[in-house]
Amino acid sequence: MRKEGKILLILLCLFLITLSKPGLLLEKERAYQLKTRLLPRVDMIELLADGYKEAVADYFWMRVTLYYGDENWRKRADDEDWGYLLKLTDLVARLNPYFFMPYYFAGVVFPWESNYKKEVIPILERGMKYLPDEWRIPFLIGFIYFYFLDSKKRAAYYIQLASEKKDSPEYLIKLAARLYYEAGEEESALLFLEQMERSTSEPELKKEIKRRIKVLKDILFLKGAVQKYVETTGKEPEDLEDLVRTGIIKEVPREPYGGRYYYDRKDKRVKTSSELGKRRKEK
Amino acid sequence: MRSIIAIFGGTLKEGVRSKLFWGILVFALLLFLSTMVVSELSFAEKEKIIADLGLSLISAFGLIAAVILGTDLIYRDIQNGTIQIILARPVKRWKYVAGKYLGLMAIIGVNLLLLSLMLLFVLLIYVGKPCIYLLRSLYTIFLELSLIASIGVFFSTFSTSQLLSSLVTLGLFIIGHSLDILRMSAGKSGKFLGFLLKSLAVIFPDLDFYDIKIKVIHGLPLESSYYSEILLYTLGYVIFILFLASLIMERREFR
Repeated sequence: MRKEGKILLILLCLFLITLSKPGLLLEKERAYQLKTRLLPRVDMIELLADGYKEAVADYFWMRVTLYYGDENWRKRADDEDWGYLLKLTDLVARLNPYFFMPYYFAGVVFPWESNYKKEVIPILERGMKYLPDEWRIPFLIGFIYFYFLDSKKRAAYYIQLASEKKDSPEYLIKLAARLYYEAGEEESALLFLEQMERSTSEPELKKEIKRRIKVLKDILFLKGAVQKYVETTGKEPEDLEDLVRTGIIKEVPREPYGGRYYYDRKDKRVKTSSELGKRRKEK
Repeated sequence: MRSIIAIFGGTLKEGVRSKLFWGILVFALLLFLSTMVVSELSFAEKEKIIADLGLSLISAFGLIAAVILGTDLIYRDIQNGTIQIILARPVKRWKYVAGKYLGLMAIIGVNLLLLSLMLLFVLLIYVGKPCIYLLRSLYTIFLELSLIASIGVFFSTFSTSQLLSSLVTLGLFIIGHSLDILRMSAGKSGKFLGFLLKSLAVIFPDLDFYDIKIKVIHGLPLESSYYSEILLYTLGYVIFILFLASLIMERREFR
């Protein structure tokens, strides 16, 4: 073949490839979106992967991280795409339930970036079963309940569970107590703090817990007094001083955080202005 | 042209007679039967499962045939000296490569045809209707295999080990299906490595283009231009790779 012929042949090949590539890329793009929405049945995969579940889990985990790591995917991902990613994450956690990362990923990524919030909780609850020493899993559930699902009571329960795990940070104890308090569950908060106080040997923490116990006991005491006031007078008190004036209590206890106790007529609850030593951020 | 046809005929005859060809075919047929067993595990969508597994098996065994036979074809002629007899006649080397390649494609075609008939037959029994729509996927499988076979032929023109050629061809198949990962890694790597990976992603044929199994099985639409575009894309690469193989053959001396 002559030199010109060879060059022409190479140019022809390049022409054919460049001519067909844009259309094919478009088609691939569509197939790519489609692939991110189809997943074989989980039980089928579990059955077929028997004996190699960990390796198959790793493979699917790689797919999760590849999709999520791709900025373009995140930009164009819609509800169905996120749903697929959640299914994939769930599959990894099912195939290898002792693998912490899928739980962490589910708890940290989905509630923030997608519309899947409560759907993450069953996955995390399964994680709690398989990784009972891991405090971060109940903490994540607690956080999701608190921040996204607006359920302080459930949040407090899970944060309490997290705080009871070995190596969990100490602030969880305070956080759980505060959440219980905010949810109007002073009794639960008190029980929890008393239990924590008994199991803590660290003096600073013990002191702090005792202070909170004092606040909660005061609130419970005032709550009882308000109830008595309502029974006696048939109306709600304007403020806590009414309880003193009617002789139900001698005085309103001193709030150890420097705040004051007050009666919130709207919520029908005794509250503290210090919010258990933690003021809310200025809005 | 006559010489190409003669080499093509010889290669096809040789291929169909080889134990390897029949071995692959029989093994594939046996596995085909297993798809029926596996489909029984599912309470629904047996058609989808048989089609999924069947097409994957056809693709996988076609790949094995393309890699092993492709890398063996010219290599064996060189090893046993047949090539000297052929080239002693007035046969141009590019015609020799083209004839060998076309013969190989005919063997792969026969393999694909038999397995496809088997798949359609199994589906006919299970579903009670001819699932002709699967031919669309078989078309792209054939085109993909023809591209892989050309790579195998290319390596067989200069490699001194068939095993090595097979492994490299297989490696390129994997890379061809992982170009997205290459592109993604390029963005996260250093300057030089990033450039290298990006270049590889541009040069290598994107084998994901051929994977339309999902769309076909789920009856989803495909652009009508897709079929011609994928043909042109394959032709572009196959002609280029065979051209390189011919160049190497022209420069080689056979004693």
